Amino acid sequence: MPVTSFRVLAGGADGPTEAGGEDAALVLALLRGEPRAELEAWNRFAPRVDATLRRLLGPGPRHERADLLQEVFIRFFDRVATLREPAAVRGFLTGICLRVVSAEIAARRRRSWLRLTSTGDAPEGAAHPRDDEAREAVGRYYRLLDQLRGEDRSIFVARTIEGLTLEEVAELHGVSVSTAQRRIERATARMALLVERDPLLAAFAGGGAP
Amino acid sequence: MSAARDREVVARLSEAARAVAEQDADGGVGPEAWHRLRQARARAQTRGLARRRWTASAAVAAALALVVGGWLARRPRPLTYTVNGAAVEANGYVARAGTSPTELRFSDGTRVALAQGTRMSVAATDPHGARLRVEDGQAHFEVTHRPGADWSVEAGPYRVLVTGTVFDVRWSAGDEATVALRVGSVRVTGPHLAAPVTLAPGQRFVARLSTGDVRLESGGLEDEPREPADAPAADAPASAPPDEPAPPPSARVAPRPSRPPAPARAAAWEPHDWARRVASGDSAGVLAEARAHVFDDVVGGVDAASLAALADAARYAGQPELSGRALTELRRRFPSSGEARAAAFQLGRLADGTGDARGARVWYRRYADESPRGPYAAEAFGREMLDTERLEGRAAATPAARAYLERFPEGTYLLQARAILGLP
Repeated sequence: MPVTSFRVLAGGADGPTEAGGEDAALVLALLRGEPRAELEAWNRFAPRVDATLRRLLGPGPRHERADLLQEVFIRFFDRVATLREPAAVRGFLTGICLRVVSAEIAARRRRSWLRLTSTGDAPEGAAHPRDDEAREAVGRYYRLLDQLRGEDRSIFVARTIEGLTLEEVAELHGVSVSTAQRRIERATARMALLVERDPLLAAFAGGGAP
Repeated sequence: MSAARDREVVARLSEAARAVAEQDADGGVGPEAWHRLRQARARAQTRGLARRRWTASAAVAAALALVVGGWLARRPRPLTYTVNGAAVEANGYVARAGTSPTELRFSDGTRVALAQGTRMSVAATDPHGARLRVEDGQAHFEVTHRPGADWSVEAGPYRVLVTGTVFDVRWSAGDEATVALRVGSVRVTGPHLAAPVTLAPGQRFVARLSTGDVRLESGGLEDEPREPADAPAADAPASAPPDEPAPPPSARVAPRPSRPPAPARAAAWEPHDWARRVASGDSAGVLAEARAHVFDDVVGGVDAASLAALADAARYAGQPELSGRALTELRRRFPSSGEARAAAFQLGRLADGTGDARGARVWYRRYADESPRGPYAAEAFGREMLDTERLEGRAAATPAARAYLERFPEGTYLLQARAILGLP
């Protein structure tokens, strides 16, 4: 047997087949309630989920993201029995991330409406030790993104920042591919317009200084 | 701006967003996050228990109120139910412990009878039906047919969708789901099914989660008692145990891709490219091929790579005993091979899976001694460290945690090692 094949099946490599098989085995272990299965799931998926949350949410206080990470895994462990295809666990987790982030954005809007802070952000989230031009631009961009309607924001960010395929975006949001495409195009035009109205962002996106 | 220019602007800002997200990794997820999650889940479960207890009590009270006062309003209300022959447990479950019949009766006339030893729960009710869950054991359902009736029964990850019918559902050992339809029509969804399966009267759907075996049998139901009082106890297996060959199915349901039929028994045979097939996801096919032969012939006749593949296939299919036998034979027959060295780690993993931390630790240590730079070295060290913590406490695991961080500063068990050392 070729060495490469052995490594793939035995878990030494990180190819998609091996990852899918290991993911499926892990989901089955979770369903059987095996000891350590939850810890293994955490070890395997938490860094990826955290990265997805960072991309979906944008810059912000770490403790807020930690709360959302916790929420994602609570939902995941509660609902893993509803997962129809164990090997598709990563997509399942991405779907949970999208829903958790959408709920968080909605909650921020409510906080903003209640005037807890002017932006709806927690006060301690205003500063970041590594502020620079790109970070400032990205922060402003995410604030503009929050002006999109809830599901439009989710669809747009999932496609443009998270980098999901159009088919994945459509499936995770329960819409057709053509609907997803149409909403992405509409959101793209709207975001470009909002960016154009923001001198700093417009300069950043155009590659020049504000 | 043109659409192309719009996309360019969005692409540039999206790229910047991804870059900032990457910068914000901040060393990844800290160990405290795992401990906070565990605490949060414990709190959520406590709240869930209280909620279920309240829901069950409220449902029983509502049913009594209905008996006394009748329907006061015409608008649809969620169905209510009463439990006969058993009490609703504190956690909201209904369990039949003794020999006396236990039954749930819903306000629309639907009744559910529990077999001995069965536990189930009513997850939700609405005006058109309810969502029920067989936690363990077997139950007999007689769902009243009404326009718009909407009932579902969950058995593990499988879901039976019902409109009005008579059927039995069984979920046993966290692995096998059985749905036997007597009257009407039901649909079953769940893992290993490419599409929902519709059952006709007299058919039985059987799915085994660990192996992916799914089959649809016809006939024989008429000979079985309808009421579960006479059904086998919940802990008695409905079919052969996992290590034994499965009975030949009368029909396969939505077979998984690339799954070949089991070959006929032959005096001389060769494993058919097991390693590649397991790597491509055909563990079930490999197991089926192995089962078609005498086990001693299999483990005594194939090469080391095929034995390792068989062990992996059994492990992926949730059959640790079979996997362990293949690994043990692998180490006995090919003691100096790389596969045999890797088998030590896998045997540790299997022992861990059964809760045998002491045995697991021995195997991890053996692997680490035999293959200090092997592909599983970091995993074996990490697991040995955790087993030590579990068996002897955190202080005893401190040297292992320190050694782990030195050897594998980016290892999978980084968080746990830091937690053992009390590091943030």
